[in-house]
Amino acid sequence: MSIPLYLPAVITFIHTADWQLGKPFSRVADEESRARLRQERLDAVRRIGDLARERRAAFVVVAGDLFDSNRPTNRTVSEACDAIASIGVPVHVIPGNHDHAGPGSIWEQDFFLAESRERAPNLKVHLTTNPVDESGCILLPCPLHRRQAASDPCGWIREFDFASLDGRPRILIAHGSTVDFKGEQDEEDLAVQPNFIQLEHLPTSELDYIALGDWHGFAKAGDKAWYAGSHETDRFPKAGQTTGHVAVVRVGRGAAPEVEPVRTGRSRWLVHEETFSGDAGPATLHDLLNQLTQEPGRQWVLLKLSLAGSLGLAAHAELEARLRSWQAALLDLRLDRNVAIEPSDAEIEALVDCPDDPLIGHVARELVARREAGGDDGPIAATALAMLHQLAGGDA
Amino acid sequence: MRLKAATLRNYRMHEELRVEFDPARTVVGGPNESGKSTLVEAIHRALFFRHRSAVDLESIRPRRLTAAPEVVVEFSRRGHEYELHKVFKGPQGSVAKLTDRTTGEQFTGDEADDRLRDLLGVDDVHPSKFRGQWSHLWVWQGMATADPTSADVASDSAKKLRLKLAGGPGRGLGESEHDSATYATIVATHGETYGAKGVVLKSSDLAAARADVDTARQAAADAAATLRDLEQAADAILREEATLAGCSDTLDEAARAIARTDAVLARIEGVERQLEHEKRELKAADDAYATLAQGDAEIRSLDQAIAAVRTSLAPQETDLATLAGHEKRSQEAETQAAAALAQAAAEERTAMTEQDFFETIGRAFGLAARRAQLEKTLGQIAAREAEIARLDSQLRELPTINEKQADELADLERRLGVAKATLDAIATRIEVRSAAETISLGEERLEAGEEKTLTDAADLTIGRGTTIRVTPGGGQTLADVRRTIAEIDGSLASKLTALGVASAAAARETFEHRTTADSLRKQLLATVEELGGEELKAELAQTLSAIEAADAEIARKLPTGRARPADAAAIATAREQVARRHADAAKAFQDAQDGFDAARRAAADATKRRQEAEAAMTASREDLQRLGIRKLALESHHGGDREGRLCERADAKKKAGETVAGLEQSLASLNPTQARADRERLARTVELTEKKAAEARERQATARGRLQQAGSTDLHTAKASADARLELAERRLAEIDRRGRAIDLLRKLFDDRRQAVAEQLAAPLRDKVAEYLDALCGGGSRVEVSLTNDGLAGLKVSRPTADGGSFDFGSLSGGTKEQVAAACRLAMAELLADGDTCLPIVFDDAFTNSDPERIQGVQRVLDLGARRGLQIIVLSCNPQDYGLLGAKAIDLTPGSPTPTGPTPA
Repeated sequence: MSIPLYLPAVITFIHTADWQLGKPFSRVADEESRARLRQERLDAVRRIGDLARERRAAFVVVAGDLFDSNRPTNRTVSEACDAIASIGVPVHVIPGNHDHAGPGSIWEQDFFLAESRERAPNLKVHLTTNPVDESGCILLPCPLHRRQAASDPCGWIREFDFASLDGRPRILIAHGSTVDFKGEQDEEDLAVQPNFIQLEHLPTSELDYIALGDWHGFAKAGDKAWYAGSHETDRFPKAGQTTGHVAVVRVGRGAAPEVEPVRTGRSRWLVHEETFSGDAGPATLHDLLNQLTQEPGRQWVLLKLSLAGSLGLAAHAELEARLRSWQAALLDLRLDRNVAIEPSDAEIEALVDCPDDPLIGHVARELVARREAGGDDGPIAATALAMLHQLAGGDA
Repeated sequence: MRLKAATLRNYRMHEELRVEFDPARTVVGGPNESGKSTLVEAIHRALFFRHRSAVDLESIRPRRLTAAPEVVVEFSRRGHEYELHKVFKGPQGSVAKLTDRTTGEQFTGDEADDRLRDLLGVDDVHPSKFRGQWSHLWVWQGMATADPTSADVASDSAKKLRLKLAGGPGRGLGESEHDSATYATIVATHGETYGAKGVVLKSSDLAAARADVDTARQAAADAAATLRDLEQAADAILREEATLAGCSDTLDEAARAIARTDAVLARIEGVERQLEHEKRELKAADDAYATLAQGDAEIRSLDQAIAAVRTSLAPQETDLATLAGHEKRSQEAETQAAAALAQAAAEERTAMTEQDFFETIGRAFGLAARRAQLEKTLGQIAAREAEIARLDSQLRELPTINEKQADELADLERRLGVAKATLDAIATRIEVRSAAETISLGEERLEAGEEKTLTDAADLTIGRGTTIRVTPGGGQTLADVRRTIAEIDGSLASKLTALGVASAAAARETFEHRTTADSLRKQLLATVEELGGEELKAELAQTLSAIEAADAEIARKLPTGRARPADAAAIATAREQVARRHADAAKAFQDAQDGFDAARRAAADATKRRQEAEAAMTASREDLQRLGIRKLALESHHGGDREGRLCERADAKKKAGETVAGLEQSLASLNPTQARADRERLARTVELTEKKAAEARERQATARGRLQQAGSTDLHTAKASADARLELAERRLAEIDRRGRAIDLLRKLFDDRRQAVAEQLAAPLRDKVAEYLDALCGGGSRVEVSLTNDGLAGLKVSRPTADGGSFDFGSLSGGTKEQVAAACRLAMAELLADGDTCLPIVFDDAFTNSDPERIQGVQRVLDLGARRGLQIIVLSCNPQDYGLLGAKAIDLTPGSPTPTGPTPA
């Protein structure tokens, strides 16, 4: 191993992971929205390139799951190569669990090999655990060769002869879960948890940064160990989770790394829960959502909306109308609707007690009775009541 | 409303007609064309046609006058008395005047029409529909059997009735316009999803959502299968890699074990080679010792054998001498026996010769006696043969006649006799009783007392001048008889001639004679045969020859000097003696023979025993010689000092055995069986492991091929997409299905309610109709009729007697139809009458199909209507049919008094 003549004390690079290019977003109902979400993941890669140039990063590390599967389509491969090429600096990649280097994987496909050679010469895929020289750093890749590796993918580093390395900063690149991070497993689970990285067993003093992938939020996983998270949010985050970021890392041999999360994602994945208790609920919710989605605009927002409680017939009809509007405007609206139709006494009275319209009154009484009887027919009766309310013009 | 009176002027055939109606029951009678229908039509026109209406105007004009038709109707309603006066001239010149006599109010022209409309409670309708007004109350001629609930008959009234039944204030039944509109919307919305019979429409969102779910489910299953296939291929590659690594380890381990085992095997083979050599040495020593020991033992045994043979030789020689002496004596006895035998043989031969001689003489005597006997018998035979010759000569002279021929001749003669008797019977007999004159028959003269029988015509001449032709009777028969006689006679003569006899009797005699002679001849021949005939002659010849031969033999054997004995008795005695002597000689010979045979056997036996003893001794001597030679040979072969050498060889053998035992122990300690089994096992392991590895490589290659074939499709993504699409489709289906079930429920509840209401609303009408039907034909009638949007429908009737079934109105008979229709109309009129409590109801020839019995019922029905406040007006050309109705009768028959009639109290 030759020693470069000039060794900068600190090197800046970008740590990212879990791009999952080609992700289908199958749970998003609208085809156009799905296409936009896929495209956005590519655009976010280009934004990483912008950031790399801005921060003069020497290279980019993608700690696994560049692709959403280990057999992405040719179009995805092609678009990915173009986006990676636009980054301009070397991009070091290890296969993660999604795009693991198992038999028949993308990494050995002729099309990928030809396309990456031709379109993205800066793309460096590491399928072995051989140390790699890069811009004054030593990269120690821990590629995954199967979706679920039973052994610690970083196990080899414990046997590694660090004496053979010089004073350049050492960056371990791995993909998998860590006990410290999840903090929920007991000893028995450890044995069966796949792709499990035992951080506490790593020779941390010999390493300067551990670039992790798999967890989609930005998080510190342990001493010198960070998850960068997905560069563009791809799921509804848990409370307090930072998503859609990359880590700008400044690393030097023997020094604590400086890690800065920088936002690269654009889409917003909002989770909101609402329990209705009065018929003003739909209007209030509408105002609140307007407020929440002001930035970056409704077209970039995916909303997971859980609705509960109960509404009267008119309010329920209003809610339906407003939801139709939001459905059309948002990138995606994922509804968990548990709103009971509870006609107000006045509404019931208006339907039931109408001597001028005896037929409607009779049917309404029957529906109210069935709804109150509950059972399987209860919700149907409630819906029918709401429909009757609507079809009868609501002023019966 | 109640009609009080009507006055018609210049209305069709009525120039001036005034009729006053009973407030309850009026029967208007009159023949056809008497103007009954015109009367009610005029009243109807006045009430319901606008006065300026030109509809049917021409048809109501009077035939002869030019004056305009004019109708005045007086009626009461809700306590008011009205007079309506209309003159029909079409659009121009018509008059309408309505006067409320109670208040004095008067309305004219259109106002009168409008006011009238309000009073009657009818809507403004198109002129063409005028005639349909109050159609339920006005049974026009020919409409009596129409369904009173049908739209044609009751459209207007039924609507009114429906509204009245449904919309009564405070009853809370029926539906509002808003109800109907909402229902229509629900039906339309329901119709977007469901077709007839509740089938989900293919074009509906629900069907599309279901199809989406099915498609998505299939796609998800396909994607899962494809992905599983791919993952299995990838897993297979990894699995086979592990298998190959395992195989490689196994092969390495096996190779090491094989090396170890081969080293042990090399040592084992060295020891085995040495052991083999030593075993050969041991065998050689064994063999050498055994050979010498065996030779020594053999020599010893030869010595013993030689000694034994020598010991046995002396008694053998003694025995031999004894046997030789015995043999010699036996031979001498044999010689003596032979001599005795020769002598006995000679004596026996002499006796035999003598006996033979006497036998020959005896035989010669016998032969002579036989010759005499034969000659006697032959004499008898010759006498019989002479007799036979005589008979033969006699037979030759007799004609040859057999029995048949004799019979034939006899038959012919009999037939001839019969024929002649017949002729004789036919013949005429002439008997000359007296002859005064010469009487001649033909040429023959007949004398007195003479008789003649004529079989043929003949002339009987009496005297000179008298000739009588006599002709026998019979005519043709006579001729036939004569011909028969001639035929038989001819045949008899020819046969007699042929046989050479004179008559049948002669022929019979000849035949019998021949038979007798023939029989005698046969007896003689049999006797000759019995005596022996030719055989005896031959025997005689032989006997003679034998006698000659015997004589010659006797002459030859007769001893010289002896005479031939001639006495038979002496000869017999001599023969017995000679025979006894011969028998004794023969026995003596036999005894001698037996003695000789015994002597000879004894001699032969003695010789044989002597020879056997000699042979035994010779054999012993030969044994001795042979044993001696053998012993010499063995001694020369095994050499001398056999005992010393035997000890040496035993030592060598023991040493070789010890060497072999040592080597065998070494070999056992190396456990060659285990080592070879190990080697075999290891070789097998290698072979199987290599095969397993080859198979694993093959499976791996197949799996790689499958992965390659999968191409560049992202199957994980495809599966995730398919799953998500399925979930979305299911969610969407659940929502649409919920809404579909909701609208279905709404539709059902609306339909059920409307049906129930319709049923409920029609109940008063049903009850009323049933009451009228009960009046018509007894209790228990049941009626079905329901309300529809437009009015009434589904009129059905059932009677307790009619098998419990209900019948559509249309299926009833004409009579029942008009009765049921009347009941219906009365019920409808009663219900519609409402507060006014009265409506007039007109039946114009409405019960023409009803039989007289039913007409009674009809009267009860009409009376019930009247009692309930309806004004019944019946028009009939048979007013007597309604005689028991208790109604005011009006007669429109031309020439009848003014049709006012008596009004019941």
